[in-house]
Amino acid sequence: MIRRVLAGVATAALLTACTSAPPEKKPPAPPAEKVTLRVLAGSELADLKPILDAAAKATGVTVKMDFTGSLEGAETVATGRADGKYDAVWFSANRYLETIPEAKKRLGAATRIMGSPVVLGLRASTAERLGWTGKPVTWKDIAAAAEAGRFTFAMTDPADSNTGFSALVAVAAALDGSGRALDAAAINKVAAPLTGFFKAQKMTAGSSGWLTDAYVKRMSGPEPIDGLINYEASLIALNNTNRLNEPLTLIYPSDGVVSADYPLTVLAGAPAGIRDAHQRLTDYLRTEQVQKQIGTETARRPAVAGVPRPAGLPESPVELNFPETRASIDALLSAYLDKLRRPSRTVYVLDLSGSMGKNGRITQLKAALTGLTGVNRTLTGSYCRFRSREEVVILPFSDKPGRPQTYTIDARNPQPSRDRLRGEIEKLQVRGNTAVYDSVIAAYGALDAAADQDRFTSIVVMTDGESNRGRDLAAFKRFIAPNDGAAAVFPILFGEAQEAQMRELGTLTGGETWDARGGDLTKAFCQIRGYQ
Amino acid sequence: MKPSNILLHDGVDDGVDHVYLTDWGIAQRVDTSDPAITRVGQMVGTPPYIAPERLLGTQADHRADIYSLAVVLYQALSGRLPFGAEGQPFPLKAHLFDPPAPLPPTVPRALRDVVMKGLAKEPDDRQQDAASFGRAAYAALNAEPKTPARARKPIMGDQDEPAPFPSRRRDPGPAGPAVARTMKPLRAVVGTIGAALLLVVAFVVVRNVVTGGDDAGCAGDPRAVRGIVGSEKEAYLRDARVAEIFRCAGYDLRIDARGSREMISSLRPGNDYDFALPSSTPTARTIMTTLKIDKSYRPFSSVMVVATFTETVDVLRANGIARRVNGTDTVSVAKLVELGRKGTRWRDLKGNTGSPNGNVVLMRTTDPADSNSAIMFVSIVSSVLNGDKPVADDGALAKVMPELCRLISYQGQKPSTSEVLFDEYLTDGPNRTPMALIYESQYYDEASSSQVPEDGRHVLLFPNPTVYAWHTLVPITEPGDAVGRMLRDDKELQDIAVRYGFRPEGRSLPDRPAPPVVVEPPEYPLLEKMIDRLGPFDQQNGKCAQ
Repeated sequence: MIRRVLAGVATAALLTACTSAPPEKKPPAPPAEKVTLRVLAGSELADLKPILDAAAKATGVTVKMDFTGSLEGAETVATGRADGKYDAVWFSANRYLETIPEAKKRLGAATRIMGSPVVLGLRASTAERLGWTGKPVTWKDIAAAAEAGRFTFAMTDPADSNTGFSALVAVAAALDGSGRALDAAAINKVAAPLTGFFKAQKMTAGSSGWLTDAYVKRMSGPEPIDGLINYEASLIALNNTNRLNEPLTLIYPSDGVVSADYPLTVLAGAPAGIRDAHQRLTDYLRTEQVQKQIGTETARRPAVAGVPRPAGLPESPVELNFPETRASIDALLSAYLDKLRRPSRTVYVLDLSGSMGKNGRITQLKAALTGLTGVNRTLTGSYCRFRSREEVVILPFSDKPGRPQTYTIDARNPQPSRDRLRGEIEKLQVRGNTAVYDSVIAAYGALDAAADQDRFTSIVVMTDGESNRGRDLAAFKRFIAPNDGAAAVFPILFGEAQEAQMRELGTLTGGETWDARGGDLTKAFCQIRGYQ
Repeated sequence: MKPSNILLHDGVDDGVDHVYLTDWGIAQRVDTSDPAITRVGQMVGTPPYIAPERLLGTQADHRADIYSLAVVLYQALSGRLPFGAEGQPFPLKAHLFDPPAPLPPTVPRALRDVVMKGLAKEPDDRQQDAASFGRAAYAALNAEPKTPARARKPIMGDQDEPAPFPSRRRDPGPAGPAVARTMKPLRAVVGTIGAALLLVVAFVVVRNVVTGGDDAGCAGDPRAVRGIVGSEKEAYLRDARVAEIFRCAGYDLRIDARGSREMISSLRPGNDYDFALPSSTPTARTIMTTLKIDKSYRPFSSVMVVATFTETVDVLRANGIARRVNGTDTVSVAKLVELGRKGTRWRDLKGNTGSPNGNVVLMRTTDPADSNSAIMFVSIVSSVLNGDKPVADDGALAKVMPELCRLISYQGQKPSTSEVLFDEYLTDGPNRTPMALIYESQYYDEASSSQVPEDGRHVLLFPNPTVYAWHTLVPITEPGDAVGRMLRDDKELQDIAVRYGFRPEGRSLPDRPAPPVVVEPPEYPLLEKMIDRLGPFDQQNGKCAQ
């Protein structure tokens, strides 16, 4: 009997076997069972595609990823909507999930795959001007320079995105300086310097990817923003493109950072075949070769001892203690939204033309807006509500723009302000035609007319049809100059909205278009909040 | 030379096994410095077996064949190529310049060395001819397996003299004797490559792949025996050799890994587990009470240790945190409690002024809600706070709770498993995790994917006091009882346990010093009460917040 010895036949297991059964009974190299792992993942993991494709070939485990934001992902897991739909979750960290008992109990084995600290990327010229190139810089230095107006930065909304959340925890913990994980009392103590730090924040967004794009666009305009808070890996990737007119210098605050560790986490209750596939995949991803490849291709740090970190990256910075209770995290997020951040002013340009009376559209619009007035108690809903100090301008339109009505949410006692706003929303009536562009121009007028200009400003346009009164898109284009730092417009598509024009309106102003034609107007209004 | 050119013929005809080497023509062609060969990016399949000097087109001689054979052996022993994986672009640079990943620890150390030497990039560094390669491989398989290990995992001893335990003996490992046992003389029929060389291939492959039915004293249908075990023992119990020993004894060992607390809740009477193997005596006692079982086995233990860094130890010593007790350096837990109380940060420590680390000086632990190793921490600290006695009643418990809450909650979020904590310690260095409380077995585990790098920076200290995690098997059925007996009594299972870092009961391990001060953990109901009451520390009132 002659037999070819094939690669893979002789394994360590065979070496150590005590030759129990005749090998004829076993296939020589049991081919790995093909399994698809359905993974709910953070969107920045899209860059792992080549590595996961290779992993599928090597292990038989194909990863099918659906992308979502951190908070929304946490809610999907916590409410059980991931059960049966996904086999695993893969976010930048499980920290947030682990503070929600309903989510935590749904997590099974978690395996860290790679790491990346959240740091500040500063335009090289700004870093040079501040004297921060090649020197240790603390969060205290950064907050002081921000408060003094010596630089500006962009950061995602901590209630929506992990990079903003990590930076908020890091700067708060570092300014507290006690060396303990933050609690509510500590957060109050550092409110003043934190407010100073956030004075310099000139741009926000619900996702790091979107923020990066907006930051890059703005860089070529008349008012570029100096800094971008993001993962070390994302900033390096950005520096390696030719999208920037000057590179970003990475500032690693010497008093510490908060890092992503990307645990690939199988959901509790997954069947044995899935658990096994998870194990096979993570074993493969943690091999030295793949770890090096992840480092080379994505600039993320290895999660396995002995694998060198990607060339050019400094030693792991100090990791700040991360608050572990829901109460501390809520306190920090609430403080950010209600007290620390620059407040926002948003004009809601609302289509009340006759067609909004069809199919209960006006009812849906009212419900979606009402959801922001503190009556939606879901996890995302509670972070979506209008926050203390926020200015909400309601600008209804039909044949022509209506009169803008401004509501300021009281800082001390916010709920009565929100209740009043809800009362006004209830009174909205439909009739007439659709004057979209005149109304958007009126919204810019309302923003310009405000006395206090130190706010994040944006415009939300909700329309269910095509503009048929007043100026058209071409006329609007003459009105607006691109990337000049004017407020971005976020169109929400509804009903028979003119998609191409609305997308152009969004792009032109540095905004983004949301599609609620599938029916979920509430979700659209909520998601846009991260950009305000 | 590559596997597809090696033909094996077992001796059914004449009672003598043969190994044939074929495809000489191809070998000849590769031997030239054909420029096409250097464009390796286009080649698929063959480059892994070609010696670096051939790929570079420099002068190659017979020692290039030693390299190729070493690749074949590497693959036979590990199931993977030293460089490159199927279906991926071949990593030419790594092949030319990087050392290959270590062979699995299931391969006897001496044999690993032989193969690695054959894989040297420089022909001069390899075995110089086929016969010496063959002799070395043969000797490695028959070697006296006790060889001194590299000196990479010391417990800190006296700083003025070599640490009393600078190195540890590498246990023979099961693979050595196992392979040696299954060897039978083979005569290889080959060309110019030495016969002894292919004998090695023959030992590994022929005995295990082609034959195998002859000496199957353990054939037959083993019965399944299911156990629920603490996750830190999962790798050991899934070890191929462990599985094989049980199979030979008639058992097909099936393992579900769980955390201790989850284990207790999974073990309702009437489920179909044959045994439970938690990581601590208190947990085992609770299981015994729940299931009304009065028997248990304690096959091996793992002592709790502090994994730290040489530079951190200097700072700890200078500040009286690391102290000598009976000739062994220890970390004073009482001192850590005091530093926590004062809120002393790493950068406040004497001699650590350059450090940017503003976190409070603590040993990092896992989350007590999830992980047994943090429960060990609670055992240690509560005993220190209770005058070095295990907490035995509610009064004592109430007194120790505030400091426990402080030390646990100051850390903020903690890893939920000891594996993750150890990984963080290993990968992120002293900035992130200057001290981590882990199982000693994690540090000494030769089979884990988390190996301690041999850079001399990593050291172990015993906490003073420490506790033993006694891995305790509670037999639920008769087969479960047999598993317990075997784990305790079988010499080879003990040997393998040592390789996974455990301390078999009654076995003295000369390379592992005994901890100078040990306390007993509290009874499980009290431990559980402590864990349930752990919560954030109320800074204002100096107690656990509820």
